[in-house]
Amino acid sequence: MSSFKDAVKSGMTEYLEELKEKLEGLSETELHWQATLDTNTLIWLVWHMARVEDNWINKTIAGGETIWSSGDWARKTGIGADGSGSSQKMDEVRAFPQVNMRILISYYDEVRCSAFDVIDAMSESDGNNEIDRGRGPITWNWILGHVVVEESQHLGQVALIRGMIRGLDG
Amino acid sequence: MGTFRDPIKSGLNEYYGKLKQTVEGLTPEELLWQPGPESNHILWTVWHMARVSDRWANSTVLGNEELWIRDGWTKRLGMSADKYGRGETPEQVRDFPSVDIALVLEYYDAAHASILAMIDALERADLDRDVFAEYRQESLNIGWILGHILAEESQHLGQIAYIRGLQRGFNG
Repeated sequence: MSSFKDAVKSGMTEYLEELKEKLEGLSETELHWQATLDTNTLIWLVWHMARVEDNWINKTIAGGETIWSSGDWARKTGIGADGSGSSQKMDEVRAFPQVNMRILISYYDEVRCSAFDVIDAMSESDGNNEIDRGRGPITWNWILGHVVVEESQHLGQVALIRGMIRGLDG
Repeated sequence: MGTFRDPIKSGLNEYYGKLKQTVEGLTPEELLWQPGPESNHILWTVWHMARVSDRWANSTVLGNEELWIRDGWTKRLGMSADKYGRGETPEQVRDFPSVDIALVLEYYDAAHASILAMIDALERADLDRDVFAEYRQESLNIGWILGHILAEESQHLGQIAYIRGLQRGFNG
């Protein structure tokens, strides 16, 4: 590892690998289970995580189209929602469609492949590039750190929900 | 902002700032509440997060004594020197003492500051260097450790936010 962006990529690899482990063997029912009326389901969290990474890196940093739209993933997954889930209401979370988890993970894998290309192409000074999404300027470096923090938080939630359903060793 | 260290430091400050907000105003009962018999509670999780930061930075990477021991936190919190959290049983989590979270956060402030100082002192070449993590009995790359700290601590933050949500609802 010769740069700090490799440390970021390593963190990203870690959370996606662990996510796949945490989803292993879960049933449709478990994937759609809500702990309370105010909490997200596992399937919704996985979709949201993939959309978040796609938006931040492939769209916001790279300035291109998301993989979601260039790869026609709304049709492939059958998920009609436009956004990434960020401001969805709880009834929208509950109405989330039955989605094939393998297809969703294929989308996430493509997002990741593209995201690593974007990060590999970043020079050190690119990290200081600023964008403003209406809440004050943020830098690309900030975005890289944020992606690991936000996605890992959701992974922690996935692990906790699995633990609530299956217990410590389930 | 302005150096190659920034993504990691920025992420560390982001999760830590959010942790402080997320535990704000919780009662001792809420801090010790477990959503399932085998789930961790918030107080245990915050304490474990502080231990994780301290151990990775001060012991594993820098090869020094942990602040936990050096600065007398074991005495102040009434816990043993080797208590760390990894691999604890549900019974141990349940029986965790109801310590003052302000004290735990004081320890965490020191551990967090020590990681930031450590990163500032690292050179690019250090990222390729392996160090031996004694409690895991394996050699690990310092670059990997930095990414891991960010991923591990943020996962625990996500769990805390979720447990708070279970108790207080969406905007609570």
